[in-house]
Amino acid sequence: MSSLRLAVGWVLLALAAPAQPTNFIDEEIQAAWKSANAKPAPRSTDAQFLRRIYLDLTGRIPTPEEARAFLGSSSPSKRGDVVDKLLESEWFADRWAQWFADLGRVSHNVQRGYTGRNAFYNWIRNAVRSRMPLSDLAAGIVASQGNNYDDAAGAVNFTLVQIPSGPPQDLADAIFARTASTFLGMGHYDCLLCHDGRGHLDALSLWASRSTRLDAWKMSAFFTRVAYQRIGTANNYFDSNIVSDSTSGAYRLNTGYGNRPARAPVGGAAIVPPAYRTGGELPKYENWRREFAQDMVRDPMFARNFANRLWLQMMGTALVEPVDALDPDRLDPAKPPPSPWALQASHPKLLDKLAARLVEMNFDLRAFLRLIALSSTYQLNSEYSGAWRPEYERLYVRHRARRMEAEAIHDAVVIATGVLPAYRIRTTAGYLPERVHWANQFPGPLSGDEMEPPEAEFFDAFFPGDRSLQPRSESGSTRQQLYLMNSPFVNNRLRMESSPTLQRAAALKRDEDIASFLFLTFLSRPPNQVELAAAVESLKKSARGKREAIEDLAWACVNKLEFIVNP
Amino acid sequence: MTPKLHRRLLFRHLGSAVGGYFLIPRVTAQQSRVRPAVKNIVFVFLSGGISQVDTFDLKVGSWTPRNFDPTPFRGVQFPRGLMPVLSQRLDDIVLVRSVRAWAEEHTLARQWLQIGRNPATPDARLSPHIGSVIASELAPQNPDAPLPAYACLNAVAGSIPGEGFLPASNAPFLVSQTKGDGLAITMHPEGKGRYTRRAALLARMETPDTRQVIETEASYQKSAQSLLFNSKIDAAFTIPPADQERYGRSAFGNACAVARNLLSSKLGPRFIQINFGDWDHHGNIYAPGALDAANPTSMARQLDSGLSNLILDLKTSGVLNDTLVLAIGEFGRTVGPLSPAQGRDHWLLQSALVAGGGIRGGRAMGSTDDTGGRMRESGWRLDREIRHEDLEATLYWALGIDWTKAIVNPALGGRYLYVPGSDRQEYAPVQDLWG
Repeated sequence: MSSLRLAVGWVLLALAAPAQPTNFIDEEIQAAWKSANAKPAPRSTDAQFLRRIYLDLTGRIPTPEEARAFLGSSSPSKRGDVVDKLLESEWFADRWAQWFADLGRVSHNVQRGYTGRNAFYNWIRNAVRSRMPLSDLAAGIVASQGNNYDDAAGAVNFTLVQIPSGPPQDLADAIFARTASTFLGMGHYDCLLCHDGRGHLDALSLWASRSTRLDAWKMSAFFTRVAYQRIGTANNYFDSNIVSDSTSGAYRLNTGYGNRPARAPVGGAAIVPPAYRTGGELPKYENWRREFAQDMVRDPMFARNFANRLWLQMMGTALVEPVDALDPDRLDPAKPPPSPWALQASHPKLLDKLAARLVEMNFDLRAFLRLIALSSTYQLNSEYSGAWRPEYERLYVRHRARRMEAEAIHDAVVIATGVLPAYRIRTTAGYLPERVHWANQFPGPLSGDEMEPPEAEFFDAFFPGDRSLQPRSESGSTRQQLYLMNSPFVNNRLRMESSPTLQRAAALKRDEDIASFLFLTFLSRPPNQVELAAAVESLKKSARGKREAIEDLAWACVNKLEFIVNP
Repeated sequence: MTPKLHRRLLFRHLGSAVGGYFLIPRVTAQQSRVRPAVKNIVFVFLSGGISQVDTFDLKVGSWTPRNFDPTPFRGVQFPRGLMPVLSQRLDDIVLVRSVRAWAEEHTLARQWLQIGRNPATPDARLSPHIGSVIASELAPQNPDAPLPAYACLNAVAGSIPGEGFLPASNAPFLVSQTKGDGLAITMHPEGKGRYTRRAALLARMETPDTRQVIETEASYQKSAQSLLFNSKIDAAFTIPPADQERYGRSAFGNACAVARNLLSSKLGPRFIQINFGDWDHHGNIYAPGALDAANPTSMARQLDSGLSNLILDLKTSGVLNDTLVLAIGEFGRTVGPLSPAQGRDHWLLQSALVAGGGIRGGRAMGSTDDTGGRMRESGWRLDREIRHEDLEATLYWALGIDWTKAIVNPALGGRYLYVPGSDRQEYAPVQDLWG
């Protein structure tokens, strides 16, 4: 049977199945379609789903064997089966370790050093691999103690955000603000640490407009007992920090300098005792950060924050945007805010249910992602044939295709060509003994010692971000297209003598098979009629020989626009 | 590279330096001058922090190498031996000696200089590079330009702030190494013939796809294709051996020559940053690779040849008045005798070199005490040390951009001031550069 007939057959089979609701996600979304009278796209093709689920769960494209197996299978449960298989894979742990590393801002800086960065990354990867509930992961980071160079204590690197400057209250504020934004989605605390919400945040957040600087200080106060001890001895711990919690220290309102406006006593009180926003009781225990961590994971905002962020990662559009500006007073569908405010989420009941389900699942990452992946909503086609309207974006009438992340693009080039790079990863004193081949396993943004041109230029063109001032971006650019066409990173891998993939292609007898193999390898699907005809003609008629024609076809696959797209 | 010895000193300085931040006096800055109508900026970033008392604010002491040849220049000394070519361009230059950085730690100070605000405050979230802001303002003037308005030469990818929350079209066009042999990324490694065949195959395999991401990528691909084998771009990045020699036979020199070409080519770049480092000379500052008058390939001599010839060539081709050149590091270095490591450490007070843009050259602006460690006279109307935010305001103002503007920063949901505190007249353009 020709590849083309197989392809047509698979497409028909895939489109035959209507989008039946499979879980509460679909019920909520389909109710919204009905209200808006919006027509959804059909189900995704198997080829779309295949590439999408591999990228979303493992950060890499399937091998041609994996692609062929999935596309050729007639099992009615094949989509669910591949979801389960990928959730259990090592690649899953790598990819989602990167997601948490982004969230936790794992990077090298002056305080952490390279070894600290590596330890932070290893801690996170171990947590994901060992199926640590997200609540334990978050609490583990917030309350962590130990030497920042040790993998077991790697999470302490979260508090080492920059060299402390200004008074100690500034440090507590910096750590708390980062914590609130990361784990509660409440980035407005950062604003409140400088001033009351009224007069500043009135248009942005109902909760924040009603909150004061004192409210923020009560939360920041939990972080006034963090202690750093820098180690200066000349051994492997040189320049490391021991992070611990002292039994004394308080948030004093007595500053006139630093990174935030002056702090003066409020209502006669010159010290602000810690009080968690949902409880208000004084801490029972001596370790304030641990107390904060326990309150934090029970805070409804914790589950909402993760439900929203994880939904964004899988679906491409968040239920609440920006993801770090959640407004606690506008998220409960049972308590709508007073006019003119509206509920903040695009689907308030859905967010509520997702958060509740996450809690019920004891914050099991894999179970939550599985829930999303098995929904019909997630599995919609990314092509939309009707007239598009901007409001459809929030209605999820089709799956939003987007550019792959820099790591996934880098790794796609490597997987597809079979030519592995070997990066040397820095430690503070030197380099790790093992080389790293996959961007999905980078411990953090690599420095110039670890990744040089041309790899660094190729990678950076896709805006991975530096987890500091420069955000990750899915934007396209002219430069990206230039690199896909001309960079040595790509082109050195498209030579017959270097690439195992091209050698395998060359061993195939029929030109149709060569074309199919290359399309499955690079694009995770068989070629359509037009592509097959053009590819076969090029292979047959190449004046310079089949080897060159194969290289040219592989180059064309890399430069097909969909190569860098998560469908 | 922060020295271990001075870490405590660093913290104290850092605390006190950043400390003054909220206490800067408010001064009303009247705009008394007509704008200069500058069209382009060349920003030479002397990363690591160049030593001012050995260069732009020369203070002669027992430590000064004889061959620096200190020469009087309008009331100050200039190291004619260390920078012979620049010493012939002094009429085109203003040596600004009253600049003061806010922070002494590299990462913080570098970001501060390039985003024009304190990176540690919440307001600075996702702040764009000054070059990106300029690109967002100026690029619409030349919509068909093949290259972006903001180019950065000799920058290691990811090492400089990017476009932040601004659209990706304002990201810097990075060229990591200027070798003077064309722009490699616009050349296909297998040659033009093979590229043409490959592109033809790609075109024959094109299939309709209406997904938004595909349509967007298609337009970028089309843009990229138009850059390939583009003789004007290739010419801008090709520096003949004679010019390479004159500009100092270095990556920095080549970048200066490329900047010259780009500015006269109208290919798009209006803000060109050239990174040149590492000036962080904590040790052996007068060693052959660093500030050495005798070695023509020393960093100081490279700076001398490259920068001087850029200024000269811009002047000769009549575009110097259109182009404001600013050369500065992220902070200064300690003054007086050298440290035990025979170098200089971080110091907040620093100097800047400004040329072009119609400024009134041939002078030093502002003055320091005998050691060079403290400002004596500010040299400008606001009569205080010049801050990086003032320099930022200067660039915008000179280009005809409203430096007091505020735009929306989607990351904050709030507004982003081009120059922080411009609603409170905290900073102002250094108009005095123009007379």
